[in-house]
Amino acid sequence: MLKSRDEASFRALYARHSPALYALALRLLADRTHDADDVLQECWIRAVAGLRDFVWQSQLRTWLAAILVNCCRELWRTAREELDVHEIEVSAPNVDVGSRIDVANALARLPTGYRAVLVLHDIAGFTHDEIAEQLRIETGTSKSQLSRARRAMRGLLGSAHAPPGSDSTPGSDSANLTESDPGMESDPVVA
Amino acid sequence: MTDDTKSHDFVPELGSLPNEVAPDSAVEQRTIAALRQRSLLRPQGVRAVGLRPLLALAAVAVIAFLYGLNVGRSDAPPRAPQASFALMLYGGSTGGDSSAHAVRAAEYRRWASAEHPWGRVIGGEALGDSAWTVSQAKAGVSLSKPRSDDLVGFFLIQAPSREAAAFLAAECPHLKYGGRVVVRVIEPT
Repeated sequence: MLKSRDEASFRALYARHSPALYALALRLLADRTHDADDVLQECWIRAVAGLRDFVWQSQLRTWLAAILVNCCRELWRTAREELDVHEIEVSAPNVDVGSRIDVANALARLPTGYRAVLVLHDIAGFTHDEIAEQLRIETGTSKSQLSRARRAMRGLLGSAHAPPGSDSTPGSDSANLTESDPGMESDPVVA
Repeated sequence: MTDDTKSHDFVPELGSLPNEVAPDSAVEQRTIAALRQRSLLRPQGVRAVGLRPLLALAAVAVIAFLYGLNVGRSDAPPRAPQASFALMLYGGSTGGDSSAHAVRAAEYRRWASAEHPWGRVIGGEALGDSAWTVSQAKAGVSLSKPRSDDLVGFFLIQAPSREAAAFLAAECPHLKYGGRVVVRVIEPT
């Protein structure tokens, strides 16, 4: 119905899909609402402009999400935030159990590359191949980033939910992420 | 579905994050304004204007275009990509004294020089009442009264699409005075 490009149709479509897109943008952009606002707006502009190219073989929500991820990627590139993070170490805890940070905060503290893959895979449900295409990285990179992102999240959230065999130590309820990749200078990594 | 184990087994708190978050209503307004600015959205209450085939007056528009009539030229950079159209003005009320005509002409000029979200006016003129049809006859060229002589003026515009040109025409004050506006594409030559 958006192909008619009338405002009423657009408003209906916007109301239907924006809350999910906005939630995705907030997760990807570390809860930076101003950036999420801009990305959501740009996503819709590109979607309406490119609607003639939309192939109804895929779901509209998936197509919109891919546009949104591309907008985020361009934002990261402008901010020189790296998507291919090589090494992040989870260091010793420095706060007690009562100070455990919440999941949204932990997610926001992850390096961009970790957060992007974790959100797209574990929250948005994209496959590694899809993530690799959207983020312009290798599929193997997506897989390794996911593994590291999960480990970093466990370190930030504490060991209460760590799986058997995890290297997290009981009582490690919070952690610092120590940057070892010089390309990650712009990331809000250090807790 | 993902091609790997969900990390909720590892980070169950991820499942507690909301799937939907309502953006601020200002974002919607900004988005709609931006879409209008790019001629990507038709405002509520404005219907598409039909581009019906009309009298073969494109030659007038082309000649005017070639002469580069500059009424109401805007300095604003064109929004790419642009196409050229002629808005042919037909009919409309002819009454009123000279001051009423001046007011009306000023209104047309304001519309022509204003910034429009759908495109821009690059020229235009009013046409006099006298008209002749020039045609080829056996004995040479003949002059006759035109079959339709209610063409009263024209504007030349640039717009990104036929729809945008129609929306721009829909805002032309000529409609308010009982006239009709015909949109014609100017083919590149």
